[in-house]
Amino acid sequence: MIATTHRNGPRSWSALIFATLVSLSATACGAEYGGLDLSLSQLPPDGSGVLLTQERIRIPLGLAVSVKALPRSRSVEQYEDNVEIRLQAEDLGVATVYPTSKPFHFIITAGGVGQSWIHVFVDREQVDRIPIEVPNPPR
Amino acid sequence: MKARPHHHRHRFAAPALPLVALALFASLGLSACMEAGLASAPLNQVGERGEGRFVYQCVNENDAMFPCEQQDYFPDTIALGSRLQLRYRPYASADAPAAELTLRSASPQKLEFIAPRQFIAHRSGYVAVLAVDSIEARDLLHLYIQPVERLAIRYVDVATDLDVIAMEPGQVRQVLAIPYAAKTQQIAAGSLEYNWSSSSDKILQLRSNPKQRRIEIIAHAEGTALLTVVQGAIERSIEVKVSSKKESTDKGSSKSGPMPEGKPGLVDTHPTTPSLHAAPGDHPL
Repeated sequence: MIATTHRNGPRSWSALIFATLVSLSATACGAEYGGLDLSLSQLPPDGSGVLLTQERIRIPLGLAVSVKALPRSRSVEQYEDNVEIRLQAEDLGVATVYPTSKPFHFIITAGGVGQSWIHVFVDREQVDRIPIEVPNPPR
Repeated sequence: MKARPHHHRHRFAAPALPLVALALFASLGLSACMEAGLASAPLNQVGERGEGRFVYQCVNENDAMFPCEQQDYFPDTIALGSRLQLRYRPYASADAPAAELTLRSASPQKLEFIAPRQFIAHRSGYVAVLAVDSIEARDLLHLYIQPVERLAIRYVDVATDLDVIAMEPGQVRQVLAIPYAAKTQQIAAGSLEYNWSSSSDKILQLRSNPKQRRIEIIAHAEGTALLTVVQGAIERSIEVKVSSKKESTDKGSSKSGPMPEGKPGLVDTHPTTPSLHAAPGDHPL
């Protein structure tokens, strides 16, 4: 019995450890950042010069653009609804990002002509940066 | 033969009475919502996120929207180089009581913050103003800035741009400058600096500060003088014909009658100023 117990013991321990590892890895890497889906919540007046993609943002000087930013997962696991997204402009002389009361909604303002980056944080971890260009408004 | 002119007077009087009534109503309506012809102006502006209202305020009397508080008006176009004041009134709700919000310009290069709620317009085009609390942006509004393209001169209480002013010696009038914005052709809001002058002090003198948008002029002697107002690089001059003859009338760019009398803001402020409607024999001078 004791042997039997001994034989069953290591088997159940390894199963437990395996299950724990699988569980831990699933928790840590449930969703894997695969990009930021940006969409305009509201087009500014004369917004013809506005460009908003996950690769590039362009906002003419002086305009403010309301955007919705949703992280996209490239793994099978998707982001939870309560995932925390933060956008932060690198050069505040070029652009500023303001959070709003609505989750995933931001306002990006084009403060000065130039180029910079918008850094993307998911659950407080920087995962991406998107180039932003602020040109003079089209005439 | 005596009854004929009497009969004629009746025939003229019948259509004239409704016309006079109409003119009075129009005049009262105009004086209530101008001095700048703002009859179709919208109320102050709801923010683009709909969480409150942006309120436009005049910095001083040199704003073409003056008096802003009475008009409750949000202008379409802001004059380049002008100063303006904005406020934001958030809609209060049970779970989110109205908080004190700061107004920020999206681009100080275009609209610079110079004092609490006060801005100066530096560059043409759209610029956003954001209502921000300590954490987040609550609302925003895009303003449209354009340079002043042309100036007009008006009497203070008639919304008609003048081409000529007819006055009699001794008469005093108040006139003001109206700045029109490029592109929109709207009256441009914002406090600007003006400079008035008369080509002949012997004929026409300025009685008030020539740096104001609204000035008082007095006719001294018969003749024609040019009344000029300058704002930045834009200038507008009109002829002021001073004559004691009664047939002289004011000519506007559109049909404009003589000044109404006995109303608040009356132009003829001089106690000895003769009425334009007075008969020659009634002339006090």
